[in-house]
Amino acid sequence: MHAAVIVFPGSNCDRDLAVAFEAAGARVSMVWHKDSSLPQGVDIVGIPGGFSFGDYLRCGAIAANSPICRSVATHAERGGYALGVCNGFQILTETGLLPGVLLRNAGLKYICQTVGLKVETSQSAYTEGYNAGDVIDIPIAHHDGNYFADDETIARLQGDDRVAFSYTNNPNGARADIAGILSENRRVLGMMPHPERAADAGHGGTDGQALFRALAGALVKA
Amino acid sequence: MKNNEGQIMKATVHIMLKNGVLDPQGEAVRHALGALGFDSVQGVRQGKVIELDLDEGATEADVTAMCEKLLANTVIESYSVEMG
Repeated sequence: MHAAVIVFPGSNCDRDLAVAFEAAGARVSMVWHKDSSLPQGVDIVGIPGGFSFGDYLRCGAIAANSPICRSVATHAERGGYALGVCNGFQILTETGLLPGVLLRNAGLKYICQTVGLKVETSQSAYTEGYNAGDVIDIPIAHHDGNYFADDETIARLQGDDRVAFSYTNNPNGARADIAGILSENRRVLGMMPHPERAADAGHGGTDGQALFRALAGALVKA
Repeated sequence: MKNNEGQIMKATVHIMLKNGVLDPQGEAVRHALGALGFDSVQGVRQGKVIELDLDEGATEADVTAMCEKLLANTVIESYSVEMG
């Protein structure tokens, strides 16, 4: 598996994401946001957490219009995989690769804590290492993680089994407790919680490891 | 700034959350006003104003395109454009 991790000014989880991919056996290339193309043979693009461009205008809005994001969109439209975590999820919604938007947390506070996540589906390369219904502990750290989409979109996401993770105890007001969603072809995942921060015994939890391992397994077979 | 040959046009873009989208910041401001004794405040919505300096000849359609592409996220926000 060859993973590309995009680095924007203000990204701060880029190295953590690269380490998690590497621990699962991936070769990782770091890609600067001004690059206009991805390295040859990239299987998956990782869009890391952080505060790209200082969260100016709207979280992820400026990053979504950076040169590399056009290549990421082309990659995804060709059926390539992409994982956006936290700010990466916000960027994926701003590019339109995933529906909806992340609003300010309902309680207005920045929340940094480990939360319970229910695995809603095991039908994706990201979640096949879990059983649907499993509850895993994964850290969140965000100010704008309150997932919003209109009723029709929420119903479609649920009906098509595209909600990957939901909060067991909704921390931010997200509609339908949604913490992470899949694209229509199930190859793009956006999630607010940070699986890369629960991928090593030193992190205090390893529940995120299965996501990276499943991905590596699926992409080796591909 | 432009030199004397070119005029600068101004455009003002107002961006608001659409009705039905929770505005927690507006709610927080409403609570704070209530706490200060301003009992008459029924609701607060918070938006943003973006001022653009444009080359002469830029049109409202140009600014609308900017709103659609970057300035507003039409999933949750509505916008209005004022030229001049």
